[in-house]
Amino acid sequence: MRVSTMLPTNPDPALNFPVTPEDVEELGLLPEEYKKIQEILGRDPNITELGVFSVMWSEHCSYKNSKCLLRSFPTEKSDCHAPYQVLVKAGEENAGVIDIGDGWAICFKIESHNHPSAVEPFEGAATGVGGIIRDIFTMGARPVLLTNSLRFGEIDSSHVKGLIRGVVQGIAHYGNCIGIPNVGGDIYFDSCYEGNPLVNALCLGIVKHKEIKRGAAVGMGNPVYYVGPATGRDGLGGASFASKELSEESAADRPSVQKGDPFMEKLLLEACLEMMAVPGLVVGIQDMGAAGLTCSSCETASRGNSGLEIDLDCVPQRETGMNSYEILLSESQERMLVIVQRGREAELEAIFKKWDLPAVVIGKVTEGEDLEFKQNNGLIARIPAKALADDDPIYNREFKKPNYLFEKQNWDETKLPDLDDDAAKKTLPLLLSTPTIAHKDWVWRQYDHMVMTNTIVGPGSDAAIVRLRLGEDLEKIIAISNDCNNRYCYLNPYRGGQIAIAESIRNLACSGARPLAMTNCLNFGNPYKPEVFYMLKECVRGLVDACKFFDLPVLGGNVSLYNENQEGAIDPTPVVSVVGIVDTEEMITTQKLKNGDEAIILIGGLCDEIGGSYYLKEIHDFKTGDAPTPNLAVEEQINSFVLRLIKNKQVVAAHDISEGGLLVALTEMLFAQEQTFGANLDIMWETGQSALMRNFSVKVREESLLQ
Amino acid sequence: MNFDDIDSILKLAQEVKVPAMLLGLATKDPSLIIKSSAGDNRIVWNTNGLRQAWGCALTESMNDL
Repeated sequence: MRVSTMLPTNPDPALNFPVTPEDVEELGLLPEEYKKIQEILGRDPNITELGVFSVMWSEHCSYKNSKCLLRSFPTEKSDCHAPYQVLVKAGEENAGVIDIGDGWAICFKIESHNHPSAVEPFEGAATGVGGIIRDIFTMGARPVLLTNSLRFGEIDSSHVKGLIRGVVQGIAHYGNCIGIPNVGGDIYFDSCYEGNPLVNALCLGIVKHKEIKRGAAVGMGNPVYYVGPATGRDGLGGASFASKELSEESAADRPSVQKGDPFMEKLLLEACLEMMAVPGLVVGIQDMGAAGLTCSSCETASRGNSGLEIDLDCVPQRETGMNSYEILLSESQERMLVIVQRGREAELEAIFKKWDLPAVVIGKVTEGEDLEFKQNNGLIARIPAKALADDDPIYNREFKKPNYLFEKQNWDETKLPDLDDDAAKKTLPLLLSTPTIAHKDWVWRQYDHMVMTNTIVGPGSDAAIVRLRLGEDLEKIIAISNDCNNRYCYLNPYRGGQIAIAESIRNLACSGARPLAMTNCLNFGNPYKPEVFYMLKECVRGLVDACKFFDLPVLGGNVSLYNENQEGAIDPTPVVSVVGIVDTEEMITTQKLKNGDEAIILIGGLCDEIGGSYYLKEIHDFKTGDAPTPNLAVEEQINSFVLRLIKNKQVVAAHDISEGGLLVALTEMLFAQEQTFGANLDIMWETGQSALMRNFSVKVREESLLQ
Repeated sequence: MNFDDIDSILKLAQEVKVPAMLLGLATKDPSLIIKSSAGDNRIVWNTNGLRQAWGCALTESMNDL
């Protein structure tokens, strides 16, 4: 145990009181965690220090209930001689980085902003976008695209519509104003998300290998700069707020939701990229996201194996009377912590003056391992950075297979009632108009997906495709697809995880791309419920096995737990985003028919696994059966075959078969931009129309349609 | 795509052991027709109508506050 003397009294009388068990509980810490804090400090913490521990050890910042599972993800390619190796692995920095050849790399990550969006949809979604953009440019990368994965309750309530409006407007506002194209994503509607929408935002940036930046505070005496707008009380305790269940009282947590300013972030982005381009000027850099100044100072010190001394009086403040607790835990947006090479301060200050942004020294790198926060010339908190960042608790929670799984997976589909011919015929328009399958034009037309003029295929095709202009004579083309079908994960979490990856890669293949790497956002309920932890564990196992099979490294991601409503946990929703590379422009393929005279070929064969299908949901109101059985080896064969045909210029359009099944996929291909085509299909069917529609409306496994 | 292409695709699929089958042909006429191979049964949809259902559902829902 470390032996430490008590700190002097805090200058703010409101913060001068002994910590009680009630304070510990209110800040979301367990008694055993408090004991660990006492051991780390060698004394009782004061309330400011306790607040720092509470946010750093919150689920949002520490992943304490999921870290044991996350460690099983592959973070690099198994073949170290394969092209496109991982340069910065998941968990090392703000975002992972992977090589794309010619000295260039891409950096991408997805993060959730679910809880803030539930209580303040516009600001919650907007700041989710702002936060993920900062994670990317902190790595020295210029952000070039955004996508998002959204989940809402059924669209028939005015509350859900209000959430959709707010979230979509918030995403559009931030992305459009900062000038980064929002090129796609996915949207599902399901009653399980009632009251707890999911808002996952992704950003991807480009960076030269030699310009990748790290978030480490090194070099004793190097000054620590605060850059960006002043700190307010907004977003106070946001990380803790995201680490507990939403309730009727959650509206009172609105102050925990940050307020974003995309124009300010644009200035910050340009200033930071200019600063990072100056050789040797920046030693380390970290954005002030969740847990604000606390997290950024702790993580940079921990990575640098050093200490930091921070004077809170020097932190720019836009509200009067802010105490140390508020300054440390504020999540005001668009701020960064920068460690600069000593003696070169003027260079940094000139850059920030040019961009009209505050840049002030708030401290310095110190020997040892302590984070020391001062105010009014007195020490108000002293915490060992390494212990705060790395000695966080890790739990392997109790798990139990939910009872419903056996019953659902053994559902007898022969008991499904037959439809008469008229009802069977109406199946197709009904499926096409279900909100999850229907055209998302209402959403996408609010996003600027053409800004930067590099978007080749925008929202609505199997994958978005973007050109990366890397130099006068150098460009690359990448594709990106987000996927996760919650119904499969609910019915079979292991298969559901595998299917999410397989579908994302299939989307890339249909677009002419080979997969490079993935990021994921694990959205689940309360991990203290054994059934929820079981679903999390199984989904992760499915994702890991699929990643290993496809040799698909995970570049990073995010875990969002405690997503619950009055009915219980949301369906398991491990959102997956796979980025691929398109070898040549000629390979780019979209899902729409071009002339109306093409042959339609089904690759992968028919199968009749109906469990979890939208046919069952929309036509029979069932959420039952087992998820389809993925066969990853067949998936890989089919993807290679599709890419080979595309390379041979034998493919006019390609589309993967997913929600709604074969007929829905085929019909979507007929809806070309300028014209609506038709098709004549000869299909062996001897049973009634009901069986035909059922068999052609199921989600099938390893299938792609080629025209 | 000409019919030689179709044959070559199906033959290649067979060679690499990937299941593949010709479902039918696209047409400029906006009708989606499924015929049974025996030719004794068929379902016909107007694809303009299907497009209307697919294209407007979300917008109509969002406008209907």
